[in-house]
Amino acid sequence: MRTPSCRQFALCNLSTYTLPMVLSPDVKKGSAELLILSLLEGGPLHGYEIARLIADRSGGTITFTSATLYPALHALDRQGIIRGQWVVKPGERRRRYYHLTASGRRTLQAHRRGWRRFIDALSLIGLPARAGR
Amino acid sequence: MTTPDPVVARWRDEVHRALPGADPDLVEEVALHVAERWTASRGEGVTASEADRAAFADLDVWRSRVNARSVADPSVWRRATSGIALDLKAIRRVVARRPSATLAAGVLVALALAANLSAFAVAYGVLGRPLPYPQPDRLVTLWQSVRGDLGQVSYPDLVNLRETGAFDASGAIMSGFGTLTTGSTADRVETVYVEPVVLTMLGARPPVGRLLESDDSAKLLVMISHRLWLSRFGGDASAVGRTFSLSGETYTIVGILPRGFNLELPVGTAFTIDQPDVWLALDRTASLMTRREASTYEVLARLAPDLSAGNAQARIDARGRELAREFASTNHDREFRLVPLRQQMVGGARRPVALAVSAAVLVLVVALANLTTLALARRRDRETEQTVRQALGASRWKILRHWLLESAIVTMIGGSAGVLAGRWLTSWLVASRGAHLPRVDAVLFDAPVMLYSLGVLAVIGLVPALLSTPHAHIGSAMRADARTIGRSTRQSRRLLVASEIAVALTLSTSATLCGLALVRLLGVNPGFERDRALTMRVSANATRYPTQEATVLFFNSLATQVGALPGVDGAAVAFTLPLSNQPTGTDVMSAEHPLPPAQRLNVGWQMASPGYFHAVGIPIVRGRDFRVEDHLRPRHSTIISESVAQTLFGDADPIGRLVSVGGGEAEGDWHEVLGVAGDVRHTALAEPPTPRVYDAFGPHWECTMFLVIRAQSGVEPAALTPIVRSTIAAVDPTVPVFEIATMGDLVDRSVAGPRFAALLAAGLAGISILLALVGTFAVVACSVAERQRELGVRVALGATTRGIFALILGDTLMTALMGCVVGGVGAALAARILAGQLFGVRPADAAAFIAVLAVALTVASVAAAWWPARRGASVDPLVAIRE
Repeated sequence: MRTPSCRQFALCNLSTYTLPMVLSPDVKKGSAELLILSLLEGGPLHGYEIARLIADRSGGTITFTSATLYPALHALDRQGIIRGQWVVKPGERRRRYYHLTASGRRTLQAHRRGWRRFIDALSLIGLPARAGR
Repeated sequence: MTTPDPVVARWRDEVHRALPGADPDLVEEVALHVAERWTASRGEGVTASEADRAAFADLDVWRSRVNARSVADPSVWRRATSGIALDLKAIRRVVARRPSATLAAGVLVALALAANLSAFAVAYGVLGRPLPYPQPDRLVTLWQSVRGDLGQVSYPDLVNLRETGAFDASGAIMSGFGTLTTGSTADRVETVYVEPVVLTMLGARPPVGRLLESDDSAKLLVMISHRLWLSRFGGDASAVGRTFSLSGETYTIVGILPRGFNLELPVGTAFTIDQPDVWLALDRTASLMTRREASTYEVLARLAPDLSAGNAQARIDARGRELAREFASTNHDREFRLVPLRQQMVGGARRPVALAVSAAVLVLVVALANLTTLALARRRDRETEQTVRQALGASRWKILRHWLLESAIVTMIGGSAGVLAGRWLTSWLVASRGAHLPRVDAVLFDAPVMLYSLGVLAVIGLVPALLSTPHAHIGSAMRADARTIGRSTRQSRRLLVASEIAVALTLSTSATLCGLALVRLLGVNPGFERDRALTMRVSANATRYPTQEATVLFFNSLATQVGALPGVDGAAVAFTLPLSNQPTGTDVMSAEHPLPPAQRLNVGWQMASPGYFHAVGIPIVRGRDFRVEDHLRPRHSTIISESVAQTLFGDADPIGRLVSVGGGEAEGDWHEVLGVAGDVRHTALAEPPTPRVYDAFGPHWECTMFLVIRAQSGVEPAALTPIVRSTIAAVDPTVPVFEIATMGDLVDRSVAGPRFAALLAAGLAGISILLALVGTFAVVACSVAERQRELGVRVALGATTRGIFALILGDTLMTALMGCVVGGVGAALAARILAGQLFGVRPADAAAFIAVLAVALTVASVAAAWWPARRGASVDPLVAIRE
């Protein structure tokens, strides 16, 4: 495995959305996709639920504003990776639920693989690998 | 149905204001999101104003994005090009790390482009470019056909055929040569006599002066080519009105033809008009104009308006039949054929040009297949990098752009080399005598040719890049993982390489046989010395040397003076020379065995002055050479070749015997045999020596003769040219000297066709070998990259590096052997076909070459696979399996 460039390294080391100005737009986009798809792997969710789960599970480190979340959801929908559908449940507000498509499952696997390799590469250089392999 | 929700309704209005014109679904979702969050905050005990502030802060992010986009939205171009510098750096690293793969790709691009550029330049120039005349598709040539043989037309026939109304215009043409003298410079020039309407049909517009007119017939007025105007008159407009001497007559220039104006009329190899420099009006008072038996004119015509070529031919046929009845003595077996001018000019080039284009397209297709395989090998090699990039969020465009950029760089470098090589190849093809290409002036590197080249480059650059780009979608990219590359894909790649090796073996065997034929051809004894003599043609001016005595004296004196020059071992004049393509023949019989004319021995004939045999290096095997005083003898003197002596006199001594040459015995003209000369291959090196009779120059004479100068030992014949020219000029500055060449040049020219064929075959063979080797390299590299995991598992299970190396090379060896078996069969078939057409080559000659070339190709293929195989053998099992 080759060493990532210094620029990539510096950007990716800051694995948080609280410093958006120094994160590469590409990395932000890639990691947002990974987070969204990972959550949808467990079943259909609506946008607010996704944002809440990300904030909860990251202990508040990662938060999505609606301006970040919905454009990403719509882009994934356009690519056929997820599908959105309006659902009305008794006693609840009408909501648009998203679920993973077959293509989305493959994309998620690929994303996980890519990130795994990237984190492995970082680990080889000196970062302690916390996520177990 | 849900009841209206006031919270959602409130925030829906706010979102509408924050996102004017947004997709209603998006507005609804964002409104719900903000409403949910507001409701949740309130539920957690947050005050309404704080919940509002948080919700408005969220909407402010939208507003700032909308504003930022409207104010500073980066242009499409900027978005498309951002990060391009990083891509270029990455590509530079890749090129530095894998120079051999990059070089291989560059070579493929250069080969494919060079082959296609030159093939298209020639095909478009010769066949595709419109003829540079008005209404070119209406122009036809008219030929007389006697039992299928096309020939020139008699003027009375042309006049009768005009009466059919098939032509809108038509004119007779007659070509020839003349000696042009201006001041003290004399040159031989091609002349063409035309009816002035020919110039109109060809659209000639003189930049200076006027066109020839009907009234100019039989006047001493000429137009000259732009080329001659520049070379002899310095492009001076005052040339019009000036005079020059043409074969002893003084002509006045009335006009200059436009630059590039030309008429080519090749008819097989029999007669041709090509690059005439002096245009004269056809003399309507000449006796030939009224003689129906004299078929001496080429005819150019423009079909009548609204008349198809078929209908015009039908009218001509009908009139031809009438003429056959009317003038049975001359026309009973004459027919007339209309041939489109374009077909007449370029028809002979169609097949070779089509072959060249097919070969070029084949090279392109194979190069594309190899480039795609190379690109796939590169892609497999860097799959991890690409996967990480995609997972980290690189867009499809950025991934594609990286590949396209890499491909573009290789294409540009290889393309530049290809353009240079293509231009060189085209110049060589155009200049090559062996190619016999018509319309070479139309072979240009202009916009259409350059556009075609760009198109080919685009295909070369894009197709492999697109076919090898990691699939548009990351999911499908992973599906196309190495593990899922099917056996059929690998088999088809091996088949590709095996086919390339088979073609390479077939072509290289053919090229070797062509080379062998050339070597054997050059190795034959021509019967003369090929490296001792300088030759040139000299034309005695008819006005200065009007009589036989004056002409003979001039040439003999010239030969004597030139023969006495330092470095010269003798000089002589002769009517023709071996391999000079000036055939002359007659018949001969001995006085002891009189025969009717039809049964006499047909021989080549020429006249030669004393010293000719020594100068050319033809041995006198019996008797002696001519001497100057021979003209005092009571009979004409003759030297016969060995085969003539053998046929006429058997083993008896022919010296002093009498022979009749060309039926001269009817007038009591018996020639006495003075000597017997060695047999000479006079027509072509590939043809056996022909019987030949030499008469002494003097009793027989001509105005234009070859001067042959034998150089002393150690002197380069060509180096004598200046001193000989100045000597001729000192004798008479007005005589033109032309066709200067050494005997070696004549030999070279006579083998121009076989040499061209050998070089072309060698070029094609070289290309096919390169393609096969690069193909092997690419396929092995690709296969190694794809089989990383398999190889890793093998190593993990105990396979040694040497074992892996042997495994990969073994695969290559099998592929090469498969190609060699098929190629061997193809080569044997090619050898059978070629053996009938190549000088001194038998099918059996091919066997040894096929074996040697097959071994060489196999070794070269294994060598080409060596480097990628080493990489495969050095695989780290841990890394490979994890990959």
